[in-house]
Amino acid sequence: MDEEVIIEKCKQGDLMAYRMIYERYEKPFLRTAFRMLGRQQEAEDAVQDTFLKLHRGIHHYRSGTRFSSYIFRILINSCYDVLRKRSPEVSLDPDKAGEYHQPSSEPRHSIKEAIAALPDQMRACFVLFAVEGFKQEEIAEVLEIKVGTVKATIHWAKARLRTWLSASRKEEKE
Amino acid sequence: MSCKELERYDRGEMDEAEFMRHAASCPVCREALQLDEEVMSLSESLRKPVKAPHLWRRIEESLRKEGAEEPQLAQEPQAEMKQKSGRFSSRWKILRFVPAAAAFLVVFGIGVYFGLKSSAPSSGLLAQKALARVEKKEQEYMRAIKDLEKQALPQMADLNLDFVFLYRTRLETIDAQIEQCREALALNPANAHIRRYLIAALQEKKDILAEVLSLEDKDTKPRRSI
Repeated sequence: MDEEVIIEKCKQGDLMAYRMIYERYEKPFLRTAFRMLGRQQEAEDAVQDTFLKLHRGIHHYRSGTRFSSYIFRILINSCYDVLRKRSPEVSLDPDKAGEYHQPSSEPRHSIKEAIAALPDQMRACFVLFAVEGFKQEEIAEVLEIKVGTVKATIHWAKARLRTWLSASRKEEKE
Repeated sequence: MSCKELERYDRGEMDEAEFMRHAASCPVCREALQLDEEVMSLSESLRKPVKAPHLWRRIEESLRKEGAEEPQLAQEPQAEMKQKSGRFSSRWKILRFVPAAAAFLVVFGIGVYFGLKSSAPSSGLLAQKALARVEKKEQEYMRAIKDLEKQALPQMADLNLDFVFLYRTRLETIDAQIEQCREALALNPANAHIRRYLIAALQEKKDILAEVLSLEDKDTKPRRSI
C-alpha cells in the first residue's frame, strides 16, 4: 500500500496503518536505536516512544517532507531523551555523552564499542550513514542540520574510528 | 601514522579528491584510506536485525490507550465505492437504501473484527508450517468463491436493482478488504493479524455469494423488490 495512504489512515487513528508503518521501519529502527543506546530494552522503549509521538503528532506531518526522515527524526529524538534521562552525568554534550557507553581509557575491542563511544550526534550521523545507508541529504533532514555539517561529522567519525582501528591492529600485533 | 596532509584532511581542510591524489604517493595516507574502507565495511556488518518479538504488542497497547483504534474494515473503501457507483445510473444516488447499506457495512466490519478477536490467537508471526496451512485454507476459499461466483453472478442480473446494488456494494467492499490484506501480506507474508483479516474477508465473500444463490432457490421470481 502506498505510504501516503497509510499515513492518511494513521491520521484517522487506524491501528492497522500504524502496524504497517511498524513493519516497514521495525528493523532499521531497532538497529539504529540499539546502536544509539547500546541496550536492547532502551532501544525498544525508544521505538515505542517513537510510535506514541508519531500518533500524537501525525496531524502536523505534511506530505512535502520525506516521511522516513520525519519518523527517523522522532526516533533519534526519542533516543536522545533516553540518553538524557539515564543519569545526571550523562549529557548531550558531544564530548561527554559518548563516554557513557565506553570510558575512553578502556580499550575498545569491537567496532560496536568504538561506535558506541562516539559523541551522540556524531554517532547518530555515522550510524545512519554507515550502517543504515542513508544519504547525507537525508541525514541532514533527519537531524535538522546542514548537509555540510553532516559531511564534516561523518568525516570526523571516520577519522576517530580509523585511529581506533589502527591502535587496535597495533595491539593485536604486540 | 603521521602525515601533515592527513591531519589537514581530518580537519576538513583538504577535499577528498586532493587527498586521493596525495595518497597515491604517500604510504601513510594510503594506509589511512584502507583503514577507512575497513571501518565502513565493519560498520556495514552491523546491519543485522535486532529482534524484539513482543514490541509491537507493547506499542499497540500504548497506542490503544492513546486513542488509536482497530480499522473499521467496512468503512474504509466507501470513498472508492462511491466512485465506482458512478458508473451505475444516477438514480442510485437518491436511493434511500444507501445509508442503510452503509450502516450495515459498518456493523458488519465491526462484527467481523470482534468475531475474530474472540477466537484468534494473539501471536504476531506465523511459523512456516502454520503459514503453509493458512495459505492452503486461503486457496480452498478462493476455489470455493470461484465456483460460487460462476453461479451467483449471472443470477444477480435477475434480481431487483435494489438487491443488485446491495450485493454489489457488499462484494465490492469485501473485494477491497481482500485487496488491502493482500497488499499488506506482500510486505509481510507471515503476519498473523493480516492473515486473519484475509481469511475472514474470504469467508464473508463466500457467505454473500451463497446468500445470493439461496435467495434464488427460495424465490425464483425475477426482479423482485426488497
